[in-house]
Amino acid sequence: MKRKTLILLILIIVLPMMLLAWFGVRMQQDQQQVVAYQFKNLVDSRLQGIDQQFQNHFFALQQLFIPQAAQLQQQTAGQYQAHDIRQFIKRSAFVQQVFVISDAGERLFPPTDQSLNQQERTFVELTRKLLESPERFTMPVADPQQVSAATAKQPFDPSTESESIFSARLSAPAAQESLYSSADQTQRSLPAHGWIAWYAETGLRHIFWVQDSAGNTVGFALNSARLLSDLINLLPDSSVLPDAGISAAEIQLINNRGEINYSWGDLSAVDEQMQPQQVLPLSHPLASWRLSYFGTDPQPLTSGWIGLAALILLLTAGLSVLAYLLYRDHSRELRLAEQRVNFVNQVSHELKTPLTNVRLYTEMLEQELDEEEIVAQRYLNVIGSEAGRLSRLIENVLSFSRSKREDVSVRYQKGVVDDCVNQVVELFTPVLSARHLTMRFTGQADHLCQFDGEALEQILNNLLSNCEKYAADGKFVDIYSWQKKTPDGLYSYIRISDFGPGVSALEADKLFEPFYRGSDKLTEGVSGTGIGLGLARDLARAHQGDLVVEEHSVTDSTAGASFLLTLLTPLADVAEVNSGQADD
Amino acid sequence: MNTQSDKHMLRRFVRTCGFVLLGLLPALAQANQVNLNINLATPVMEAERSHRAFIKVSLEGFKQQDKQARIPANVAIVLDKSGSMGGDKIQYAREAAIMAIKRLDERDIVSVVSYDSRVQVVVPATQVRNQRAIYNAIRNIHADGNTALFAGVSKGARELRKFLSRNKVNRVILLSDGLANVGPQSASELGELGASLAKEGISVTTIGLGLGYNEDLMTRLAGFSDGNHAFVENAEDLASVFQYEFGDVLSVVAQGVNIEIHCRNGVKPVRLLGRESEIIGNRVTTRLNQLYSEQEKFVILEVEVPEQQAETELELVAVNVSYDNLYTQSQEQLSGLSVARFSQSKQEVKAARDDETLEAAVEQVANEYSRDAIEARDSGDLKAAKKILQDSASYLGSQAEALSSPRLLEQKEEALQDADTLESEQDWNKQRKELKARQYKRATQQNY
Repeated sequence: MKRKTLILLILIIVLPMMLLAWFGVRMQQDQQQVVAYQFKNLVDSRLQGIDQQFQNHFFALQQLFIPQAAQLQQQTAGQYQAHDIRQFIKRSAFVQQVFVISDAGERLFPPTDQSLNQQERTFVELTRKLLESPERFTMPVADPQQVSAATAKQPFDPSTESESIFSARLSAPAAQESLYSSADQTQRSLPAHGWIAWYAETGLRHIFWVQDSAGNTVGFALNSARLLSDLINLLPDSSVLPDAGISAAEIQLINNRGEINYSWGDLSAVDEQMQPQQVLPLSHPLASWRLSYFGTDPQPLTSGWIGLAALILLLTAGLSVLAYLLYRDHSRELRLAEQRVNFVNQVSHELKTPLTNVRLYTEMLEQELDEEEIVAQRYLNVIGSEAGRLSRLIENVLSFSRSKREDVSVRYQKGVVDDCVNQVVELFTPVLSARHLTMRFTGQADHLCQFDGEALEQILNNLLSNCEKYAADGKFVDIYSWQKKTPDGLYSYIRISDFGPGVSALEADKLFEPFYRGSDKLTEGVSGTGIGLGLARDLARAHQGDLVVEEHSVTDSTAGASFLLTLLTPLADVAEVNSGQADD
Repeated sequence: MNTQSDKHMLRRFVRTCGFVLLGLLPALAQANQVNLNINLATPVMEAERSHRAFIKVSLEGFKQQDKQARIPANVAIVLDKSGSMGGDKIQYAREAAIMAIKRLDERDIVSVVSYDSRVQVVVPATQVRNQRAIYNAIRNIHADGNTALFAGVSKGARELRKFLSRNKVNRVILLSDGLANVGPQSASELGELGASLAKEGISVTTIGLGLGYNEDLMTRLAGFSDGNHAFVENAEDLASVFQYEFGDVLSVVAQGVNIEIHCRNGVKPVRLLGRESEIIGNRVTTRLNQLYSEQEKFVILEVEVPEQQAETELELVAVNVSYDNLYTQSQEQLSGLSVARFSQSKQEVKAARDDETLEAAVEQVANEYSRDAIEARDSGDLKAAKKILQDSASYLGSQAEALSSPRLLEQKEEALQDADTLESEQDWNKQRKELKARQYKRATQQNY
């Protein structure tokens, strides 16, 4: 009993906790996935943003070069004299070399008819192949402008940083490198132009070409170190706090040879074996370059886990305390009840001996008494029957407590069921008649069989004293017994019906529970212990039978309770069985 | 006769230097102007044979009249804080930077960038007002990681651009003690960057610390942008180098100096000694990023002079110089001529010889030899390298004797010493750095 309670209490704690933990873990996992997904998106948009910044830079350069080309043409009246172009190269920080090719494919600059300087010679050497195929410069090449134009509408990253490079203008007239201011004028009618990325000396070099109005192609070869420097300057340095949500990460700008050109972030150590979590190839003209994102996995939201664990722990602790208190209360009550039962038991036991004496002497006195002394006779009868009732009560209590301690045992004895019933009926006749109840016994269970007479007596006692208590208005108590042979053996049935208020279907089951007593209305002013029916059923079940309350419709149309007692009563011997069957 | 010859001498003197004097006159009148001197090492040459002649074009920054009225500086200090800088080195570097910044005041802009594998902008470009905050930021630099030199310089330049102005001295001061190993790392790439920065008016001073850095890269970067270069073996000396450097920065009087030399009358340019230059046809151009107060910077042009008749005069070169005067804040022009006379008399030739100019020219020629020697040593040809230095030493020796110049003798000893040390494998690394730094200093007439 105690252990069961304990297990139950533990289950009460553990089950909901497990459920809660399961749901919590599931939720956390879901959340983690969502975070991981969001994180991936964040990283992706970050990398895209960088690519876009680079595109904007190329666009800005393009917007710078187009008017410069036009200016060169104007300045040299379309002749592209070497001196002017050299002056231009000397001033322009972004440009390493300039070339001009006529529409006939002839090289106008670097000049073919004059001596070249060292740089020009190397450049011509490097770009011989490129310059020999001027059709390259008519092919529409993917243009960063389109990308920029499309995204310029979106308010994406105003990148004040990148503008500052170009807006930091030098005050002297020699420096006229300002990109964004000239953007508007060229917007109107753009000549054919494009970017070419080409490999020279294992590095990627960039050429911007634009066709002038005379059909000459003017090419600007960028100073690649300067380009890289500018691109690096578009990127944040590592002292800047990382973007919200991206921490403990490093982003690397990797060139076409797979070398790191620049890296930033706050990841403590990136070793060579580390695989980038995300890689974004850059757009033309940086096509063979890429951005690699290295990072620890998105910070597992330990706070969530901690919260969950704390919640579960707290709840467990709370429930445990509650359970412990309940358990302590419960066991204390249990102990108290046990003590009470023990007390009642002992008292009952103590009552038994004097009661036996009272009954013995009452009977002896009855025999001694003269026939004429009717009044005394009647008094003695009352004393006797009341003493009998008391002893039954005590018997009930003792049986009950015994049944709680150990299983109810049945002692089979040879006998006839009806005889036993008759004895009880006789015993109860005076008691019931005192309450104006008449018993009508119809006995058809007259086989000699094996059964526990004491148990049967006790069951009937209980049932009849219930009739006495609750169905006194019914006038009659019908007792009907019969026997039936089944493959299991002989069954004896006894039905006791009264005409009292009856038992509702709802109550029927509860009647058998110990200490349950019928409705208040019913039990008002009626004595009783509430253990009788339960005990009776236990006895019947121990006898491999049962005691049930019958539905009204089955028995009689009249109101009242009807109990059906079933007992397995094996036949005493074969001869009797035969005769019994013949009678049946 | 006497008076005749006197007159003659006078005329010749006026002829050879007249234009220079003409250039000097307004400079004397107006002190805030750069001095241009064009000296021919051999103003009188033997007739009827062709010659190799040295022409020294020198510029001298005018005196800063008032220390208070100096030109504001816009300086980015780029510090290497890679793992190799650990310990004393970074500490000395920090203190050197702080000591140097102490010389600046509210007029100046300073920024500090540190780099390892990544770049940190320690102090974004700011006016030197709250010095304590700047020092604290610098003191928080700790050594760790790799060397992203290119990115460091880039970010330094970016900080400079925030306040970039032709009226300021825009300079990146790069300190590195290791090889660049993140990002571009070749001397040519860094040179390209330097060239681009120079076009914007930014010069990069490179300070190599210890024996681990790439001296080619550092000299290229400095050379293309006309900054200074120094080899500092011990970190203790950093402070003084920084002081010198800031002294230079604070004494700049002119910037964006373009020198254009036209060779006339069939004179052919052979080479310009010391500096990067562009020679197209008979035109030689070169560029100095800045001139310092009372410091002479010069270039030596070697030319080939065709045969001439005796007693004739020939205009060899015309020089045009333009620069931004930081005081008047305007672009100014200077020009001058170099004229040679031809004579049969060897005595006259010898008497007219400009020893000082010749000495400078010999020094530069020997410097070129020294460069060649390193190149030969690098390609593994130890013998050839040694031979070059020995040739250089004998050339220096003969010239020293002819000019009776102790300076050239000293240089001769140096060359012989260098020839010896070429062989030792273990000292070569240090030797090479010293040599490179010395060559650079000579070629650019660096102050320290």
